[in-house]
Amino acid sequence: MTHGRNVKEFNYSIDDYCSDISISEDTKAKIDEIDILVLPHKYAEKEYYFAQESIRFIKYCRSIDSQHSIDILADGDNIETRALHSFDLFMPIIFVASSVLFPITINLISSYIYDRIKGREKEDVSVKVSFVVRNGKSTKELHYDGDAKTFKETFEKIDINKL
Amino acid sequence: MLKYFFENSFLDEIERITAIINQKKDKVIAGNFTDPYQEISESKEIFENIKQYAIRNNDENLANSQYVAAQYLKLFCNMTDYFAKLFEKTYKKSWDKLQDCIELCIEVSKFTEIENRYDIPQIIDLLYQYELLYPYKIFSSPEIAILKSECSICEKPIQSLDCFHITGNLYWGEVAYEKVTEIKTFQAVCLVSHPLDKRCIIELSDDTRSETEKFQKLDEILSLGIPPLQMFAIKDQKSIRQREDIKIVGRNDACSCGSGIKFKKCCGQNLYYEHIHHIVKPMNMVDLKKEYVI
Repeated sequence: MTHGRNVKEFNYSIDDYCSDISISEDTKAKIDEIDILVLPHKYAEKEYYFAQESIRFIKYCRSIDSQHSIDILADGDNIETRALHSFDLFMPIIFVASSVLFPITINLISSYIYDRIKGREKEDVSVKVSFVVRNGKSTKELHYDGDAKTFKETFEKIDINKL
Repeated sequence: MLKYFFENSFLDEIERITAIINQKKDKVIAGNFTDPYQEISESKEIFENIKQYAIRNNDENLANSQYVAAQYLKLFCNMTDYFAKLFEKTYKKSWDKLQDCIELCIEVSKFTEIENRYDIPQIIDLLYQYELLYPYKIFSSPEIAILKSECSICEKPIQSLDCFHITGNLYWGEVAYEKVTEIKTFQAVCLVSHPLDKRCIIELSDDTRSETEKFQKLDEILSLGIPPLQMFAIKDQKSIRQREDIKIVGRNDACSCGSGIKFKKCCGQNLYYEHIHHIVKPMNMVDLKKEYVI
């Protein structure tokens, strides 16, 4: 199996999610307080699921990076995940609080991918991950769907401020 | 991790485990596939003693490395069982066993730096070569919405960030895994080529072919008598052959099958078929290492 590299823009509204699912005010406040926030994918009308790798990714980031806050936009343990039992990595939508934090987020994901494919380096593994990056008063949305091994080099070529 | 385990060979238990692993490797090399799991039962208590020693001495690396070494031994036991199944021609059962072997290679490699994986890279190459000989290319994969699951170590909800255990990681010789306790919906079964578990194979319910017919390529290669640890490469060569079951008559004559139609419009249209000839090129033997600390 071969994987192409594909970085494209996509539409995602955090406001829609917050209004579709009754989330507490405390949880909503995370949008302004947390550096890297994991968001769910929308699957159907008012139906959201966190991607397979969501929780593992947060725990991993917290174990290697204590300088940045990493959390999930959900109340308590009320986190519904969608397991696909695939060899490929289905990452969550990641909200990055500022474009300055974007390279740090890319590094964290890159380390995470390295950790996940350890032991099966010869396999073709694809990664699906989306970003919502806050840039001043606006946000930029990006989606990556491609080879796990080329994830980092792809984003090294992208300047989020020039998009 | 694997190297760390063998570096502690001053412990009698580790020396005994090393001897058991090497004894198993000798059996694999000699083609002795009887009693494949004997060494696992022989070593169970010894591994437990090493783990308890590690806990008493506050050495988490040793506790974790004994888990990796146990998986390493388990790999050779499963390989023995796999080769036994190939020789018995129980090909369908052998597929599951092959997947067990591949998973064990990945499990050991996951916790071991590339340069310290000993013979694992060669073994996994060999196993992937065998995998290509099976007819399974598409698999079923479930899509499940999980409502509740707990951590196998602390038993807290795995979704909870109060549980810091990362699934698949090692903690004092135990792997943290997710125990699903409540499924919201079983959403779909997808047909995929790259599943987490290749044991979910797809077969046609009315397929009445024998195992040798279903696994023709595997059977053909094994009939060449290639030693189990022999690496090989296969090149498929296509050729056009004439069917022997069709009696050739003149193009405009009545077809030999008795259909009453002209030969050229009946069996004459299916006179040739594509034949795939597998050219097997033997390569080097897998070198099972018996020296672990250099």
